[in-house]
Amino acid sequence: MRTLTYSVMILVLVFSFSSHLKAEKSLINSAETARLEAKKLGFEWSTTSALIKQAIEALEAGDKDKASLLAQKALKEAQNAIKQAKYAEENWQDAALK
Amino acid sequence: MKTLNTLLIITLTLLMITACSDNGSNQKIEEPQVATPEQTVDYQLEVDLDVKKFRSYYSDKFKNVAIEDFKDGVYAIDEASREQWLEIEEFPPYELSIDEGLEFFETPFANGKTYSSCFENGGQAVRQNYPYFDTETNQVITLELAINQCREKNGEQPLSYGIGELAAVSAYMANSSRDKIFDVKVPNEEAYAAYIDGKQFFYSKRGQLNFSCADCHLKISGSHLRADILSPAIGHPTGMPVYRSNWGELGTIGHRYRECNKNVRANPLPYQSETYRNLEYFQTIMSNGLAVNGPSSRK
Repeated sequence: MRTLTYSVMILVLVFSFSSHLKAEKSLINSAETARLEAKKLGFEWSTTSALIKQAIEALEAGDKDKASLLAQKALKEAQNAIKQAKYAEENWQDAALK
Repeated sequence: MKTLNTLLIITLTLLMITACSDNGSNQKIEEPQVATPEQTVDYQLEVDLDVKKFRSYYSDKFKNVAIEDFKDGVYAIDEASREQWLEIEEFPPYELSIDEGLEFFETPFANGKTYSSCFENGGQAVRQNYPYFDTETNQVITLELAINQCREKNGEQPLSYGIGELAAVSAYMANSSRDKIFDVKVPNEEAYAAYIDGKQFFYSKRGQLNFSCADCHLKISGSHLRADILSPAIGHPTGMPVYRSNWGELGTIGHRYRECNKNVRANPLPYQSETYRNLEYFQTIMSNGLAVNGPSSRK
């Protein structure tokens, strides 16, 4: 009975760990996809790719929390760059000399 | 009675003929003007209005600076900086690059030809004609692009843009064009689209710091950014290529664009990308009427 209990606990931990990894990887993928979209628009920020690289390194080192934070930050940056591109596309003429 | 009637009819007829004849001589019948697509928008006129607004903006902002002096960049608007710059110009740091450029320019390619074979007037005094819009390939051709096109046409490998040999050749060509006046044209709709693309880049905020070219070099030009004074955008292309003290070497306008983008934490575009060439096209048109004074030195 005790062996079974330990086995279940390990399985739960392994499952939990792998699902977390999956979540991290997914977050990093989302950040990378958004970064590439910003790049395509010509508005990629110079800081984003370094954050993604650091997130991958943190994940490889087993530091999920750090990886998550970095990936979230990279995703936010890339999303803001896309917003910036769209805003510029629609409003740049407002800034031009009249 | 019959004779009287006939006379009356003849008189009335003559009066009508006269009236019609007067009408014809005094009022020309306007034929309806059918506008062709080429006539609907005068692209050059639109651009000229932009140039006028651009010049007026800087003339109003820097009232003591003559418009032609904006070719000196920040040294046109700050007397203290100008004095230091004039001292530097006595032994200009770009002088060696001009000599190197001359050597590269005159050294024959493997096929025996030289750069002079690719350019009007043998490549002498032509800087003011660049960039121009090539109506055959529908793209902006910068001087640096033309230099590499020349090399490839003659079976040579293109040079890397930004610094080094290509910048030196550009410096030599600019030096041979000193005091020539920029008068870059927008010949058709495609050229206007390229111009607008460059204009859009100039006014669009980018990077993590959310700055546009216009933010620094138009709206707050003349202000201090730490120890530096932000230069006016008018005149930026006239002194290119430029020896910048913080680079410690000569670089092209594309090199400067990439640096500016990095400064606002935006990923720079590739050298000679279509957008950077269009930006140079827009910026040079805004500097039409100013003289070539490249290569130059800046802090």
